[in-house]
Amino acid sequence: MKNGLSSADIKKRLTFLVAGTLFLALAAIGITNWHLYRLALRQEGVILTYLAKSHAQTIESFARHEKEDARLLGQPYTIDDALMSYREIVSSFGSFGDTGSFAVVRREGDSIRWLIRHRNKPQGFPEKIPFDTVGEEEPIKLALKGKSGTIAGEDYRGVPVLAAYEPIPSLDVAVVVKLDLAEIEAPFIQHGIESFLVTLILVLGGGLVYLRVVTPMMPRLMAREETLRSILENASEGIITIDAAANILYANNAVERMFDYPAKALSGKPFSMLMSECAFSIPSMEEAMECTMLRRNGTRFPVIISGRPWAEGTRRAFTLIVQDISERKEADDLLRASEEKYRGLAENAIAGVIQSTLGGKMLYANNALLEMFEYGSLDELIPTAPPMWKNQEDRIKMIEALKSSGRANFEAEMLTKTGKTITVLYSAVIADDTISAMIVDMTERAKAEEALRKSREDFKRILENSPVPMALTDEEQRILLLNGKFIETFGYDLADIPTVEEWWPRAYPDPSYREEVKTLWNRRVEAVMRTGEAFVPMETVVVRKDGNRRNITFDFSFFGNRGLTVFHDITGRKAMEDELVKSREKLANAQELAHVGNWDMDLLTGKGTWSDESFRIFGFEPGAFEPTFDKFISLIHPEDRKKIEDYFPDILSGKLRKAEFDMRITRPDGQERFIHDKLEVITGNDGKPVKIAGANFDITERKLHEQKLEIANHDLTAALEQVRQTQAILMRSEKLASVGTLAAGVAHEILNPLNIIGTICQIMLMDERRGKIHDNLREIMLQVQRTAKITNNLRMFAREKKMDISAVDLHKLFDHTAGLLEHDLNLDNIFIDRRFDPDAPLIMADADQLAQVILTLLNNAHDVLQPRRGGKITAATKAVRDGIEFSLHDDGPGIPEDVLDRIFDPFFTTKEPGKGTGLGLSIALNIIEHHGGTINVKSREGEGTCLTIFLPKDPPRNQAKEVDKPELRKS
Amino acid sequence: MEMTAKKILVVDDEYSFCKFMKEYLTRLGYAVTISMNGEQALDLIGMEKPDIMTLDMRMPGLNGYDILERLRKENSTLKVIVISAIDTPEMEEHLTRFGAHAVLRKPMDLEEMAQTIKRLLE
Repeated sequence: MKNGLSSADIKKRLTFLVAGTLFLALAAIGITNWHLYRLALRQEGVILTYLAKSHAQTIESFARHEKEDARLLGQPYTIDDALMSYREIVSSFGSFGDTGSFAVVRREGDSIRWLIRHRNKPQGFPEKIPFDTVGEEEPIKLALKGKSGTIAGEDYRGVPVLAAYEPIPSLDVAVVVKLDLAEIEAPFIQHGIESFLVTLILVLGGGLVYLRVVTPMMPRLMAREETLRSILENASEGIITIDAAANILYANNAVERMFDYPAKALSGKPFSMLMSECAFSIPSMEEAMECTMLRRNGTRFPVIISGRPWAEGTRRAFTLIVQDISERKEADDLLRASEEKYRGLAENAIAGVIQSTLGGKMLYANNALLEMFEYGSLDELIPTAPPMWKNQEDRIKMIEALKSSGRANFEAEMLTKTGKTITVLYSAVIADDTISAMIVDMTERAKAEEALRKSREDFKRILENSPVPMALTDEEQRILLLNGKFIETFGYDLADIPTVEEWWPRAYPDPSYREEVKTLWNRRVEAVMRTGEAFVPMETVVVRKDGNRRNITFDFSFFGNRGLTVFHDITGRKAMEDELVKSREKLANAQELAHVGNWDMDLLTGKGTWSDESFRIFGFEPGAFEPTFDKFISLIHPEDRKKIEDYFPDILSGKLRKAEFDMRITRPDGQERFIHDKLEVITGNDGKPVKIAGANFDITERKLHEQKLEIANHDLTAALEQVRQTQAILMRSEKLASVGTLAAGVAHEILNPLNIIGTICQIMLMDERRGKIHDNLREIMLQVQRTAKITNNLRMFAREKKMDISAVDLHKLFDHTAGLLEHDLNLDNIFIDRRFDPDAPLIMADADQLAQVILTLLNNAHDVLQPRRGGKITAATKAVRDGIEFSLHDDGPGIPEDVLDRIFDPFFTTKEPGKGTGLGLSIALNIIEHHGGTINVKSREGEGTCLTIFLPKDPPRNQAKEVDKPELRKS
Repeated sequence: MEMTAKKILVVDDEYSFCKFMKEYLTRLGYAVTISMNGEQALDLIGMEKPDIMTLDMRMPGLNGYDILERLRKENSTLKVIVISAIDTPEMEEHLTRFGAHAVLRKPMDLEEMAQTIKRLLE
C-alpha cells in the first residue's frame, strides 16, 4: 500500500509538468499564429486584387474620358497625358502600409517602363528595366503577359512580396499592386514572441509557487496519513471495509485478531465467511446491531456491528465496525446471574424487602412484603404507590437518616392495604437514589412484649398480695421488692434494706450467728445454681425491726435472673416443737426414773407385764388389770386395731424384729389419745421369737399441733387458690379490653359511612315536603343517630378514660343519679329503699364514671321490674376495711344460672332487640376494676338479684396516674 | 350581603361526602371547592383564598393535624371547621387548642353546620 512520494520525485515530476505545459502552450500559439497568418495573407491578396482591378478599370475609363474630352475640345490626346493626370490624382491620397505600392507599367521594346508608381515612402525606382531581367514568374512580367491574379513570390528586386496584377489590354499597360511579405509577417512574429514569453513566465511562476506552497506541507500530510493509518490498524474495534459485492477491501489488525486470521489474509475474501446465522442487510444498516459471528476455527462469538456507507466516484463501499462483546456478555451474564440470585434471595426472604426511589416511586417488593402489607401482587403496589407510613414523620426521619448516614434503622408503624397498623423494624440503605429496605413485622413481638409486661404485672401483684412474706432480688443482690406480708412480719421495708448485704446485719445482729447463717445460705444458693436442684429450706432466728425475734424458715428459687425468697414464720410451731423436745426430755428422764411406759408380753401365753406409767398412759390406775394381748387390742381405737394386729403374723414368723407405730387409744373416760409405740422381739436360744418388749409414748399433744399445722397449710392452699382466681379475673378483664379495642376500631370506621348517609339523608329531607318518602327519610335519620350512639358506646371499651379523681360521697352521688330516674321508676310503681351506713367513708373516685355504673344498675333493675308492674329496689352501703361496699338489690325474677355467668360479657343482653347494646354491665365492670374494686352478683330465680360493689378508698396508684392523652392520630 | 359569594373549601378523603357537602353548601349560596387530600388542600388555600374550610382529621398523607399545624405556623386567618368522629369533650377541647374554630361530630347535623358557617363568617 505504500505509495509515498519523496520531495525529489515531486521536483522531477514538476519539471516534466512545466516543460510539457510549456510545449503545449507554444504549439498552440504557433498553430494559431500560422492560421491567422494564412488568413491575413488571403485577406491581403483579396484587397490587393481589388485594388489592382479597380485601378485598372479606373485608368481605362479615365483614359477613355480624356480621349473623348480631347476629341470634343479638339485638343491632341495622348495616353501618356491621361496617365499623367491619373498619377496626379492618385498621388493626392496615400498608399497602404509601409511597403504597399501601386504601379502602372508598359512594355516598350525590350524594356519595361514605369508610367505610374505610387507608395508612401519614396523609393528609388528605376525608370525602366530590361524585360528579360525580370523572371517569368514575377508579377510584373505576368501582368504584361496579359494575366491577372495574385502571387506571393520575389519581385524583380528579389524581395518577397504579395502582389496582384491586372493588365489593361486597351492601353497596353498593366497594373501591379504589391506589399512586402515582411510587413504582413511582422505582427505575427511579434505576437508569437510575446505569447511565448507570457506563457513561459506563467508556467514557470506557477511551478515555483506550487513548489513553495506544497513542499513544506508534504511531510505533515504524510505524517497525518501515517497516524490515521496506524490508528486504523491498531484500533481495538475491528474495522472492515467491504465493497458493494460484500468482498473485503480492508480489515485492520483487530479484525484479524478477533477472527483469528493471519495478517492480510482477509483482503479480497467475501465478508460472508465471517458471518454466522446473523442476518443483516448492509445498505439498511443504520443502527448498531448485535449478532453472532464466526471465527476461523468455527467458534461463534457475539459482536456489536455498525456500518456506514461511503462512495468514491462510482464505487460504493461500506465501513463496518465490529466490536467483540463476548467478555461483556459474560460479565452481563454473571451480573444477571448474581442479580437473579439476589432476587431469589429477596423473593424468598422471610423479611419484607422493598425498593423505591427517594421520590417515593416503588420499584420492587418481595412476596413476604406483599403478604405483610396484604397486597395481592406487585402490580397492585407499584403503580399506585399507596401511603405505607402511618406517620409521615417516620418517612421524613428515614430519608434524613439515609441522607446523613446512608442507612436507617428504627421501629415504626406502617399501614397495610386494608389500613391495618403494623409495627415493623425498618432498616434501609440507599444507593444511587434507590432505597432498599428490609421490613420485619414486629406486631406479634410487640403483642408478646405487652403480654409479658402484663404477666409481670400479674406476678408482681400476686407477690404483693401473697399471704406469705416474700422478697425479690436481682443478680446483684439488690432487693427489688418486699411484699406487704414481709413488711408486716419483719417490720423492714425497702428503705431499710435496699440490698441483701444490708439485710444480714439487721436480721442477724450477732456476728458469729450471722456468719453461720450467711455461709449456709451462700452454700445452698450456690448448690441451686450449680445443680439446679431445689433449695434446701433453712431455719433461722430473725431479729425484727422492733427487736423481737421470729423463727423463720426460708425457701429460695430462681426466676430467670431474679431470686425469690419465701419466708415462713414458724415462731408458733417452733415453740410447740420446743415443748415437744422438753417433754421428750422429760420422758427420757422418766425412762431413767422408770417413768416410761414400758411393757412386755409372752408370745406363748399372750400375757405380759405393764409399767405403772403404761397404765397411766392408758388412763388406768397402775395394776388395774392383768395386761394381756386381747386387753391391749381392746384399748386401741377400733380404726387402728387392724393395723396393729397385722404386725403379729410377721412377729410370730420371725420376719419382724423391730417395729414403731402410732395409734390412737380411747381412755376409760372417753378421751382419745395418740400413742407412739416402739417394740422389739426377743428370741429364744433356738432363734424363735418368744417375747416382745416395748415402750409407750403419749404423743397426743404433738399430734394436735400437727393437726393445727395441717389447718394452717390448708389456709395457705386456700390463699393460693384466691391468688389463682384473681389471676383469672385479670385474664377476663384483658379479654374485655381486647374486645373493646376491636369494637372501637370497627366503630370508628362505621362513623364515616354513617356520616355520609346522614348528610345525604338531610339533603334529601330538604327537598321532600311531607309524605311517605319524607317520613321514611326521617326514620333513616333516626336509625343513623341510633347507630352512632351504639358505636360511641362501643368505643368506651378501648378508651382508657381519663379518670377524674376526687373525693366522692357515694350516698350523695347515688341520690343525684337516682334522682334522674326516680320519677319514672315511681310511675312504674317501683320504689327505692335506701339503707345507707352513716359510717361509710368518702372514696377517691371518678364521680362521672361511678354515676354511669349506678345508672346502668338502676336501668337494669327498672327493665327487670317493669313487666311485673312494680317492685322494690334496695340500695345499701356498708363501711368495710379499706373502702366501701355498695349493693343494689331488686326483688325481680332473678337471673337463671346459665345466664349468670355471662352477664358481664360484652354484647350479651337479655333485653329485646333495640333496647340494649349488651355493653352496660361490661362497661360497669371495666370502670369498677379501674377503680381497683370488684363486682359480685348473687341471684336466685324467684328471689331477685343483688349486685355488690366493693370500692377501695383509694384507687390503685397506677390507674389514677393514667391520665391518658387523647389519641391524636385516631380522631 | 356582599356581592361575591363566600368561598368554602371542603377537605375530606371521602369523595361521596365532598360531593354532597358541595351540593348542600352550593344551595346555601356559597362557592365551594373540594379537595380530597391534605397536600392539595394546602395548595388550594394558597390559590383560592377560601373564607372557611371544613376539615376531616383522618386522611392518608397530610392529615387534619398537619394542616392545622401548618396554618398555625403561617398565622393563617382561615376559619376551620373540623368534622371528626371524636366523641368526648376533651377531644373537642384539644382540637380547639390545635386551632379549630369549630368542631362538628360525625354523623353531622347539616343545620348545625349551616349555623356554624354563618356564625364564623360574621
